[in-house]
Amino acid sequence: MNNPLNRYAEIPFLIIDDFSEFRLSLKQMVESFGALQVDTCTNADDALALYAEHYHKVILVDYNLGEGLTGLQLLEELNYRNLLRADTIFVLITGETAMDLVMGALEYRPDDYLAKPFTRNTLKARLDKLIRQNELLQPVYNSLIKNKPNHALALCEVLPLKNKRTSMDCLKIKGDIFLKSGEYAKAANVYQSVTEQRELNWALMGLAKSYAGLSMLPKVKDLCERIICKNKYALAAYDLLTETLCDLGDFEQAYGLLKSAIEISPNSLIRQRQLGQLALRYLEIETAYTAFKKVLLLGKNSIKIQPDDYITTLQVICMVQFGSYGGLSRRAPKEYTGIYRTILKNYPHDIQLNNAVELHKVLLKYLSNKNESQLEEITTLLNKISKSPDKLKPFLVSQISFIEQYIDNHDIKKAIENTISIEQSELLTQENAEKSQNYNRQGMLKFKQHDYLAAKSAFKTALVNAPSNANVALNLLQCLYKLTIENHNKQVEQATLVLCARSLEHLEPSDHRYTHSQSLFCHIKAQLANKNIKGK
Amino acid sequence: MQDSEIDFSTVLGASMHDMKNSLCMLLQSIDTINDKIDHDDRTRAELAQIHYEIARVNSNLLQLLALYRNNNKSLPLNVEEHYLDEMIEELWAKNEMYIDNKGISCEYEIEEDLAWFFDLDLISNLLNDIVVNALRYTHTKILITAKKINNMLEIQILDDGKGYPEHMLLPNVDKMNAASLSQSRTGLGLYFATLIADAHTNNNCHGSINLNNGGNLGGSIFILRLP
Repeated sequence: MNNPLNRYAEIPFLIIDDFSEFRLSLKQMVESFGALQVDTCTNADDALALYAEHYHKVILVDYNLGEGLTGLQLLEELNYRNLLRADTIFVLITGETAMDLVMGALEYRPDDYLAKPFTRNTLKARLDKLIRQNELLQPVYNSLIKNKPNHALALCEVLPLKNKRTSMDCLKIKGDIFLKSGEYAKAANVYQSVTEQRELNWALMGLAKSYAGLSMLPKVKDLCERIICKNKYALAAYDLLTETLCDLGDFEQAYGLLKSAIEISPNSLIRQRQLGQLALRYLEIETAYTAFKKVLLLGKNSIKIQPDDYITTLQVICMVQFGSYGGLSRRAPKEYTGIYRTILKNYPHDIQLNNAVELHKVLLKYLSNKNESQLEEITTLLNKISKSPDKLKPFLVSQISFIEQYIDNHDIKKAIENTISIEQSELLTQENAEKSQNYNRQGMLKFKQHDYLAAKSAFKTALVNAPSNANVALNLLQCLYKLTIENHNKQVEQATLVLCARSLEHLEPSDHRYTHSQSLFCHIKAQLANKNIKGK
Repeated sequence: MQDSEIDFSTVLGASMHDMKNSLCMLLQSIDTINDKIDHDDRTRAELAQIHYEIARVNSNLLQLLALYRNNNKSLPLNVEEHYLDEMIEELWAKNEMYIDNKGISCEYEIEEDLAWFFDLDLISNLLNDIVVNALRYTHTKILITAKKINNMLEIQILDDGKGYPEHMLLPNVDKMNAASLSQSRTGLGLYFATLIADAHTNNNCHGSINLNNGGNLGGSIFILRLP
């Protein structure tokens, strides 16, 4: 401890830069501080592999890594894959800092930025400071790594009393733990204690997320607007505000906002998908077309793409083809073949998906030459689908109702009615944000009174009226968990769990609600299994 | 979308990245040379000069980009809590070679555990610019003080040189015109400093800078106030 050289000897470093001289000179610098284990590589892919093997204590990465991921995207990827350990020091080296860092999501913040050019002395001063701070917080990190959040919380109370310089970090960690365990009122308190000192962006954002969890949507709206006003590149605030506006039923404003967010950063699959869906709502088919084309492009190497995206894209191209969009109406249909091929390649065994594609192909044929035989073909297909024992997936339901919009025929209508169950057609057509909000409020009230059965039925109605509202789904899930604890296992139906899962499956792992929902699913599963064994 | 339209700020950012890499390599080479050679007075002076010029090129680059962004109303701040002693120590570390080669004594007086909310990069670049300038014009000493006065953070940089020339002590540095910018090498730096200070706001208070002569060391005094 006394000899700073000894300290560095035990710290493994990972250095990533595509510029070889710089990489070497960085390596020499940290070695001159006494570091003995220094790995280097040139790109994010190699870095991921190296880090997964050695879990280096300090990562020094250049923002600009030539082709491939940037240094900031490496951080996102480490988080996304749940690889990054709480006690790793991630330092982003940048040519100029301001822009690079504000463009990143607020959730993924490097521990520090180092602006070029810097000397050996500057690097040493900065690393000394970071390592000192990291050592102070090490006990908290250890509890987090061992997945003992309550222990970490207790430490966060004590540490600042011993050393004032840990207080801000402890508040940050506390807020994060509360968000991830769904204790939104406590999280709000923590963030508020920060914003009372100063309106820091991460604290405002944390506060907004807490209020979203508490369903205080107008407050969420105010906060997000304030963040965007302070920093017009704060994409996380755009995303939360868009979601909130949709939950409030204000789709028009959400649509406008999403357009500005996409102008700042067009390369988010989830954002493009949302834009496409809202554009469809307003029948701005050309915007929807561009957005979904981008979704498929971004989805080439991403696990974020879903079968629904392909089906919706096929539908959008169909709308373009049979609408009056000039040259676009002639050009767009050329893309069908490529999409069919990709679907077959990526999902060769998905029968429902292939059925949806078949329906699409026959519909196209019918729309082009209006032949009666194609109507028969559609009816046969629908009858085949209706005999399937599995519940229809949303994309197939969507494709079937798409057909309904284009064909006005009694037999087809009848076949469609037979195919789509009432519950599913409700899921599609009933979208009533206001009703959903009312039921959600009712559910929260019942939940507070520990009347979990009444709460469940209220949340369920709320969710059916706003199937994409993740907050409502999380409320319902929490309620189901309480029911399992109180031995009401029969009240926890498989279908309701699926309903929740479907609303929550779009969440990114960085989203605190992802962590919360995962742990709730685990707990519910454990409870159900537990009770079954006891029952026997 | 205007994919084909080239965004000037992106081009500027990309070429800056390249220039910064070069500056980095240059600094490190000089660091190495500095460690290896015997220092007579002549080489000391030359090394100090090289360091000074690199620091200036760098801050000019940063300022150009920041000014451009400010024109487009997109100069974003990354405000966090920072401890003043840590920032000042890093300032000394950054200029250690220059300080050693010129044999200047540098000290700071900071209240214990004094922390404040600001954009670390912008403020430390601003202060570095002033420190580099002070290192050039001082005789023997530089002193940095930081304290809380009336809910504002006040940082002073004092030296025992000849002080600022009279025409620079005008009260409104922010009202500088094109003529005064081109007149002096420091004009742009001060304009930039005003801009950065002003961008820091809290409860409707803006940051500000001030130039003065005299004080304990009898040379120039640079004052930065942040709300």
